[in-house]
Amino acid sequence: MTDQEDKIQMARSKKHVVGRRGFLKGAAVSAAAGAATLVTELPGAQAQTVARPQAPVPSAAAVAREAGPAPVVDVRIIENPASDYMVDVLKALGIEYIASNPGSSFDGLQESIINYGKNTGPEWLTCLHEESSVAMAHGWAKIEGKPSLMPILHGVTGIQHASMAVYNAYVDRVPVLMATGFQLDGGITAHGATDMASIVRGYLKWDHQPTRLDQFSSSMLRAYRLAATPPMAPTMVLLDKHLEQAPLGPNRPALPKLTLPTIPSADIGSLRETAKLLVAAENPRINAGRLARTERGVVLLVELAELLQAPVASVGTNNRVSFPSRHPLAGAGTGQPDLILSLEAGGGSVPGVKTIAITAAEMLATSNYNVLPNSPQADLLIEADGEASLPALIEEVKRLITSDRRRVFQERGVKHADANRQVREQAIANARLGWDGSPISLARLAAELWPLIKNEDWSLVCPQDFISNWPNRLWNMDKLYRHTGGRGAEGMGYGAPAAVGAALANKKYGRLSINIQQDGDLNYAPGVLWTAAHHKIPLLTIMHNNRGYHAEVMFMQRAANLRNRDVDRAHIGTRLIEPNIDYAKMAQGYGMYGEGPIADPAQLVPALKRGLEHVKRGEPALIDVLTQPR
Amino acid sequence: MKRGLHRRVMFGFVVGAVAVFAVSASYAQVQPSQAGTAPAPNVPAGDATRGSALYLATGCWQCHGFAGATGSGAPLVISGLSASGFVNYLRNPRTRAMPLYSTKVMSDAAAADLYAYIKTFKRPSDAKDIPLLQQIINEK
Ligand SMILES: Cc1ncc(C[n+]2csc(CCOP(=O)(O)OP(=O)(O)O)c2C)c(N)n1
Ligand SMILES: [Mg+2]
Repeated sequence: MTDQEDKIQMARSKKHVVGRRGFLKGAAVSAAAGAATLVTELPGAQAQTVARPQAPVPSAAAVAREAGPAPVVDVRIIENPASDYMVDVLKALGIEYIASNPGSSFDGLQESIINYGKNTGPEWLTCLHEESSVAMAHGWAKIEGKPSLMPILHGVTGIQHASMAVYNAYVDRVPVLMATGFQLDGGITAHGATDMASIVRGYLKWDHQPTRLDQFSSSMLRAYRLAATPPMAPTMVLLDKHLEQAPLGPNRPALPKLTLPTIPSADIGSLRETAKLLVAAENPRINAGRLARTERGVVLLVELAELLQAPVASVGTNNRVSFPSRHPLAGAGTGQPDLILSLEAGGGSVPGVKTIAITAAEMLATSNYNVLPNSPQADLLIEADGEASLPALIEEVKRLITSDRRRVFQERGVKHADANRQVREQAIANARLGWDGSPISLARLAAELWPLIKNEDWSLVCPQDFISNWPNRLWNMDKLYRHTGGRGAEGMGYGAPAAVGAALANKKYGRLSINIQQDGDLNYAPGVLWTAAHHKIPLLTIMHNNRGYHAEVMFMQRAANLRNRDVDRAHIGTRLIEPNIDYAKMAQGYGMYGEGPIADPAQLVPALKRGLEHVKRGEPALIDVLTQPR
Repeated sequence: MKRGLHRRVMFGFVVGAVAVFAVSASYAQVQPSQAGTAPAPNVPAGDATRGSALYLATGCWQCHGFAGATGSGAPLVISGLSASGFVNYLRNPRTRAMPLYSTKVMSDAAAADLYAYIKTFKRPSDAKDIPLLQQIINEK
């Protein structure tokens, strides 16, 4: 480089460093010149000198000789970005994981998390699809009860990918706290929008776009709190890239203090009335759909049911566990009910039967989406959280029970228990149907799996409706975490990522996570298998491989029959055959143990045992099982 | 057994209430009871091999499983229906989940073949003879 070129280069470099926010004086920075005395100018603050190791500063000419002509580079250095503070906010809120597919709209925050935050509390989870990030948070929150696994999405396109998973969490009333980065003056103008959250706002409880750093803290706190307060739902904070990139001024905003509000419980007058009716009823029944939010909810419901000796219908295919499946009062009991207590269950009323409903779900109704299958119909409708209302209800019931009533209750309890035993035995005996068949029956699959897991602390982290509810029928569902329930909005593609998120939460407690995985569901975004392998998330995935979108095969069949024409073409567009998908290879390709397909029931248990060995070592494993359709 | 046939309905489809017949280019709505040939004809003896192909092709397996024992439909393995009762049921299903198979889409002869095939299904073991199920029943 000539002296002349040297000067030009210096001039270019100088011109570039005179930035608004922070700049370098005294030395040009290039690959060869790392060590220098650095001066960073902070807005509204005195320029601050950052001590650096002393080393002779090479001249530009010397640098050029060693490293060739210096490129025109962005030489601004900001050593104290606002995103470091944002990491402290995340830590203060107890965010344990970030689930994210990377995007330049939040690279500053990502850098702060991995460097400033040392990639721990929160730790970065590499996600291969935004739908996976959010569904992982959905699954996680069903175990944790709080939104402490936080997806970070890329502006516009990331939200668009995440959209269905957000909707599933919303309908499922699960707390998911999300952040979305955006940069309105970024390289891709299509990734900017004036109202980014509008894409998903129809199924968010709240969103906010802070414009100042202190607002970031209060927004995050509020978004967390609103997500985690019943009725729970997803919330989103939108992060302007400029906010996270800016240097942190001298006035570091305070960190948020997370206090969750008390939960709205029913008023005492309504509870007294409820208790009066319950104690007076001859055959009351409790419907507990989505009652339990915490393990205490299960304990409280057992107490109420035992006090009244009232049966509890709770284990639906899409509910989590609110009542132990093997409790003698589980199920519909016997005889016609004369009073129904519906706890977070929604649903219609039965003609001629008085109904009392306690639910917070209606508070989530929006103008556009049909969240509840039925808005509850009741003679007494109490808008409050079910679980929070139980302690006072139990006290009121206790006050009213006389020894005469107790005797009556004990007598009916014996009858309900007898009905329960018969129903249970019949349900289990029905597993004999198709027992020796190949492909393997779903009943056989669940039955053979049971002895292998029942002495572990296990958790079933998948929906059960497409596996004919067999685990509920055969296994001892005695705690809330035994089953994470359904998809919420029945958006397929939920299963695999939600299982991985729930398994990550279960890992903290040393629990064994089991996922019986629909094939169609897995294929929406199978990359989450890699995420499980990469982050060593122990999870046994057993394919319910019926080689197709079976629900839709049946729909198509009915459509053809209804029109009274060609009834032999329902496979077109609905079956996943020719070629068959090799799930063992898929698992291996993503870096986890995979074997199968297993079609012979005699080979099932050894394969499951091999899979479990891997999981007990702390890794994911997948066993492909060819199953009967349902 | 009739109760068994509509005991388990997993999907609440609004299907089977009407069957639609093509009449030239227009359509006429026909009630299920008119759709088939009720009472069922004297069903000829069917061919189980042909029936096995039909079982797959016409979708029976979808709700009744590959061996007539699993799924959301009634377990055919323990069905006590006679041949004519079976054909009658195809023409006049009693649940919304069971699609209507008219004579247009399934001839009486084909229905007889299906029946012959269904009769070859191995009867299921008794739950008492499956130790694992007994073990689960006895668990507390
Ligand atoms: C995102 C989305 N797309 C399509 C559907 C419609 N749908 C409902 S069930 C189903 C089939 C699912 O197939 P699979 O997961 O293999 O379960 P299977 O019915 O075979 O047991 C589809 C496509 C949906 N619910 N959600
Ligand atoms: Mg499938």
